Amino acid sequence: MMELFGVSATLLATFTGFGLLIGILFGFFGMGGSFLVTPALLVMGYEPNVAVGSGLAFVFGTSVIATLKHRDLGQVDYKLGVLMIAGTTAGIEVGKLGLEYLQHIGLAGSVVSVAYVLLLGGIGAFVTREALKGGDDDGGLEHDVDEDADLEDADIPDIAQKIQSYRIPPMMSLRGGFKVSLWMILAVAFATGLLSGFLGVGGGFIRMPALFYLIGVPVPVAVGTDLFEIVFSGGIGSFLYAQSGAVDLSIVVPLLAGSALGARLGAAATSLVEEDDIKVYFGVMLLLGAIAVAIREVGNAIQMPVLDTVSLVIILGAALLVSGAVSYSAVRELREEAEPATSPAAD
Amino acid sequence: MFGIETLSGNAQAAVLVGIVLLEALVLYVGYGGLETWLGPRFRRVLEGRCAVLDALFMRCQATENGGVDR
Repeated sequence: MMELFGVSATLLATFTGFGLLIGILFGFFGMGGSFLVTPALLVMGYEPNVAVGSGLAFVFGTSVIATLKHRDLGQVDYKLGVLMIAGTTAGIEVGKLGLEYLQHIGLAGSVVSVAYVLLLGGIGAFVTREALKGGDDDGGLEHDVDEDADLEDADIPDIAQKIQSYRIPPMMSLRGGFKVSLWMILAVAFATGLLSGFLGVGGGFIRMPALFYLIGVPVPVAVGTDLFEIVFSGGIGSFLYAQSGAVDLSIVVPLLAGSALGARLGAAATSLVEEDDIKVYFGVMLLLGAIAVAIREVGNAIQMPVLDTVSLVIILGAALLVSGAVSYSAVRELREEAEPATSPAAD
Repeated sequence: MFGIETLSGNAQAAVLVGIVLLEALVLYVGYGGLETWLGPRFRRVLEGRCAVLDALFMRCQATENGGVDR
């Protein structure tokens, strides 16, 4: 079989293709791609620490590319970012220690899988419910670059107002013209870092809503600061896992190559397709991801290896289905837009 | 992969993270260039205004805005 750098060409092509699908999803929805990687690697039979470490390295690479898009828009609060990095680093270290302990007693695979089922299932159910409900509230926050965003118009959620009212010194002034207790910021950072280290996710899909809903940071600043922070948390997480040889470049390099291309296609599709039209597919995809991991666990429990294959097919099928729906809708819209322009020219 | 297995501990970890960072930067610049160069042609193919081979050999008609790709 053909090999590149000692790795099967088929495996490289598989990861590049999977990365492309994930990239389209990330570029289009602005969230969600990265937490499909670790479950997929678990299902493919990689050790939990390799699945988590390689997932973190992939998140790191993806966030570098996404942050470059935001750098000139002034949507990064560096002071908040540095505080988040401090809290997140501690959280990642504790999460990693917890995972290593679970691996030592032989429970890592089960616990990480169950946590994923709950996390993916919970978010999937929430997104699906919001999408079916319709309306302007799309049930999530976007990572997309929003050049027209006005920081002064931001509404501060009730919970954030409550948290801002706790004046435990020292108080920090943040972009958007408000103050929050240093300890509240560190608590949010630690909790999201814990999840990052434990599950191998960037934490962005939890931290960014947390910055907005809990701390009251305006959405554009929450997005930019979150991405800035993910670069560091992903990098630190990757480094910590790489120290024990748990980052596999034969996974990360092709995944990143595919996802960077897919993210451009997905981002281009956002200007063509209504996100609400597709959002229900996204929620369903997350639910299918949760089901896939659950099926794998059942397969392990009752010694039925065929369920591993079923699980992998469900994960890949879900990613393929949704990214296909996005691509199809984008091409259809492009052609509809082009028709009025081409018809007169045909005369 | 890439022969870095001989390194140990922190050195290997730093090289691994450096490789991912370098790849991300290269991909950002590389795909950005490709998008500028091939994007408009790819778009015309998707719109059904141009065949794939014509796009590859730059035989597509000029656009309605006077041939300005973007």
